[in-house]
Parts: sequence; structure tokens; C-alpha cells
Amino acid sequence: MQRGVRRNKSRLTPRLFSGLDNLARFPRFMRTPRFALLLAAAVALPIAILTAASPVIAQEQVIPFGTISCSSNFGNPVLLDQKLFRLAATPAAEVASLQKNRPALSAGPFAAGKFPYDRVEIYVVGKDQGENDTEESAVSRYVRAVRNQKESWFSIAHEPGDPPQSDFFTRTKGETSPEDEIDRDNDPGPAVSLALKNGVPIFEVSWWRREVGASTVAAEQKIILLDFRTLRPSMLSVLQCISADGGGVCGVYDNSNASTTTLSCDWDVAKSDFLCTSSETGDFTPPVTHRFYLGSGADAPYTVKEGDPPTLNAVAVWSTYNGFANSTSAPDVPGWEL
Amino acid sequence: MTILGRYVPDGARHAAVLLASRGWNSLEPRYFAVVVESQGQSAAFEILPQPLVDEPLIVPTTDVSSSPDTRGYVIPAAINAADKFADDAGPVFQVQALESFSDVALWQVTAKQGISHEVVWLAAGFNSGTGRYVFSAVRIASEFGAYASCGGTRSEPFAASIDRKKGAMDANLDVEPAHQYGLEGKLDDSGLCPVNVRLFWNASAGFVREATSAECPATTKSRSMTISDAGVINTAVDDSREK
Repeated sequence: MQRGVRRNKSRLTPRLFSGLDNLARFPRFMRTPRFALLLAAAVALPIAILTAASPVIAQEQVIPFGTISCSSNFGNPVLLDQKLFRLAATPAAEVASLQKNRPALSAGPFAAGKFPYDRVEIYVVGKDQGENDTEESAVSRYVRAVRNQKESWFSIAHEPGDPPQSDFFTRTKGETSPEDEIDRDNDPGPAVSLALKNGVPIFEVSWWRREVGASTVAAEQKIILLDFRTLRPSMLSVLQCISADGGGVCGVYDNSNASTTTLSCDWDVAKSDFLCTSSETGDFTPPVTHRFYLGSGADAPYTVKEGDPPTLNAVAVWSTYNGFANSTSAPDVPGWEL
Repeated sequence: MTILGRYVPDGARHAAVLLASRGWNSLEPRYFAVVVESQGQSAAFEILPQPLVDEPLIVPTTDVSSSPDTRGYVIPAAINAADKFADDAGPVFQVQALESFSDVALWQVTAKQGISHEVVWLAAGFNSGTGRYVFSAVRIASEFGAYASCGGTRSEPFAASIDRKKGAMDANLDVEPAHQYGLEGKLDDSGLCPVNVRLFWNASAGFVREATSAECPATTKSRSMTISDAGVINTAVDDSREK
């Protein structure tokens, strides 16, 4: 199985598109309770269930399993606040509609006895935005998880916050990367894949959106990682990779002072988590990298070089007793390592 | 991480070690002090250099044994071993001892990172009345500009001349205020007058700055400066004003 897409060296921010022009394009009704009713009604209407002959949809750049690479420029963060997203039980009315369709990805059985669910299926639903916007569609994701022949349905709920649901779960039809032109005639739809090849039930769903502001344009990739390794599945992580161009130094967003954040992750078998390095670059930004585990959020400290003191305090103590004082260089300390 | 020096108060069973590193949140280097007790215990602090003429920062206080007075610019040192620099372009520090007394020591530190320099006066003292260390630093001059807006930058105030009283922690400085530079790198402000600053030591608070207005006739011109690798500040009239 191949994994799809992505994640290019991006450049821009969601903030950039939170301006007035964006407000006009994406009214905030989707953030209200009314949206829940609209969504429930929508599943009874003609909607496009994005299925694929292959469990993986898309695209031009195949990346290996067990890796994540994402970058956002113009000061945009890569990692979004996970607390805004959660897996919730899908209402029965929506389930009835979904059961008639084929999933975008069906995976299982997983390592016997190791994981609670025998089979997990991902459904991706695209809903047109109406006559006024034929270029974009709202993306809804559902998961059917089977355990001992009993099925449970989940959908991704989004709490009010930044970015708003209407921004995050909207995709531009035919958009696949920052480099390529939008090709609506060959719209591959969102990409769905297993994140790991060793039968671990962690799934990746991603889609693209093209954002056009007054003086900027950006290709944005949204990525969600779903973790079905436990009976209570969870969102492992939510990412955005924003590649923006344009703007200037005197606008609301000053792109000459904006840094680029790059995230690179590899699966750590021992920790059962993605070990990530987040790096920041910019003309006025020291090139600091931070290492952490994606799922747990825990820091992953660098190890001390043999013979070097582990802390600033230790350097000082050693210098006091070992005559380091007044030397022009001292050992690297984790956290200040070059 | 570079060890700059060590200060041991008379008769004390503990010492203060001064260190410096590359800047983390900004391009300017960082300065630290660690108090090492005789039993090997230690407490680490970051010393934030004061600008010559800006308002002081408001920083939190701590209450650690042998800790310095934290009413000024000293905060607990923060280090995260999960962080690392992506390149090896670390700063180089030169240290010159300016004064050394039983209750305080003063060093001039010249830092060079890439093509930029800064000169900082760094002092460590011990207040026998309170039993606490006092650490303090003043940024005398810096080529590390800060981003302002619209592609422009802002310089920091610098000492165009220094009259330091030998054998005392006391100096009078002719200070050029901070200036704004436009996208083309030309001076983009006017009417800013130099300031006379007296810098002296207070055993409880560290460096104290007393600013007084300098003569400022209409013909007064702005000044810019460069810093040599040896830490010499060279001042020149800045004629680069934006048209």
C-alpha cells in the first residue's frame, strides 16, 4: 500500500486568511448549534461519498510510512490545538446514510489481541458549498470500528476556536499541492491512509485548500491523525501545512518578520509514538529546534555527550572545582547545544 | 555555553559563576549566573541586560537560598534539554575585567555572532547585609538590531563615549538614543537628542542609571556606531536620513 501526498515546504498562516475578505467568504454559521441540524439534514440530501478503488487516494508525492513532514510559513503554526478536535459518536441518522456507501479506507484485522478493534473503516464525505461556491466543499469524516462483530461509528467534532471549523474542514476541489495548478476535472479528493505499515491502527486523513487573499495566495494542507489503538479512539494530532506567497512588509501581516516552522517526525517503535523535531527559521529568529513526541506531547531531551556536564548548574559546579573558569569554551549543555 | 568568569565574595563559602550562550528568542546572546554552594548545591539565573535608557522590565521574584536580588533584571534560568540549535553559528565572547572589589566585580563582555557584535557590562556582587548575590548587566552598545515594522529596523541606545572612574563602580556615558531605520537602511526618525547617563552600583539593586538631558541644539546630528572584534565602539555622524 502506498501512502499519499504531501506536505510540502509551505509558506503562510491561517491568521493571514482570517481577514475581512475571508469572513465574507466563510460565514460563521457553521460554528453555531444550527450547524449540527444542518449537518444532520445534509446526510439525507445528495452528498458525495468520496470513495476510492484503492484505499489510498492521491497524489503526486509518495512518502514513506511512519514519517510526517509538514511546514508552515508566514508565522503559521504547524500543530493545531488538539483540544479543539475530538472523536464523537455519530448520530444514528447519519450512520444510516453512511452504511450504503463504500469506505475510503478499510483496514484490518490488526495484530491479534493487541488492539481492541478488528477492523476500522474511514468514510470521507464531501458536501458542496452551494451555488455561490462551486470550487470548494465541506469535508466530513466518519469512522466505523468493528469489535467482536459489533460496530461503533465515530465522527470528528470540532469545538469553536481558531481555526474555525468552516475554515479547517473546507477543501478546494482539484487542489493537490502548492506547486500544481488546480485541476477540478481530476479531483482526487481527500487522501486517506494507514500511517504505519505494521498493522498499527493509526490513520491519516488529509486534504488541500487554496486560499486567496487580497495580496496573498496559499496552498494549505490539513492533516488529521486518528488513533484507534485503544477502545476509546482519539485524535493523535491535527496539523496544517501552509505554503503562502505574496503579501508584503507593510500589510496587516508582515511577511518579512514571519518565521517558517517545519515539523519532521518518524515513528518510534519503542515509544509507540511519532518522535518529532520542530524547527523555526527566519531572518530574525534563531534556528532553534525542539524535539518531542507527537501523541503524548512529551519533550524528548537530547542526551548528554559523554564526559560533558548535563546542566548549566553542573557546568558551573565543574568550573568551580575543575578550573574551567576563564576558559573561552565550555562543554555543550543539552538545551544549549549547537 | 561559555564560562565568562567567577566571583567569590570575601570569606564566602560559595561562589558565583558567570556564563553566556547564544540567544534563544532573539539574536542577542544570553547571560547567566550560577551560585555554587560549598555542598555542591547550585541555583541558576539569567541576567537580562538593561538598555541604557529604556524603562526597566518587570520580572518575577524568586526566593531561593543565596539567590540574587530579583527586583531588577534577574530571573530563574530556564533550560530545556529537548531544544537544540540547528546550526553551529554560536557566538564568541571576549571578557575584560574592569574592576574587582571584595563586594563586587565588573567585566566588559564583547560578544560576536556572525557579523554582529555587542558590548555588555556584567557585574556580580554580594550584599553582606542581606546575604544575597546581586547580578546586573547593562547593554553598552549593540549591532543586533531589532525588527521594527514595514521592513524597517530599530537600533538600541548606545554609549558614544564612556567616562569611567577607575577604582569605582561609576561611569558617565554620552548615550545616543534608539533610532528607527527604514527599508533601505536609512535613518527614519528625527529630533532625538542624546542623553547623559550616570551608571553606578547599588549593593542591593545592581546597576542604577540616572539619565539627564544633554545639550541638544537644532544642529545636533544623529550618530551611528560600529563595534570592532576587540569591543571598541566607533561612532560616526549618521547622514543616511530617508528623503
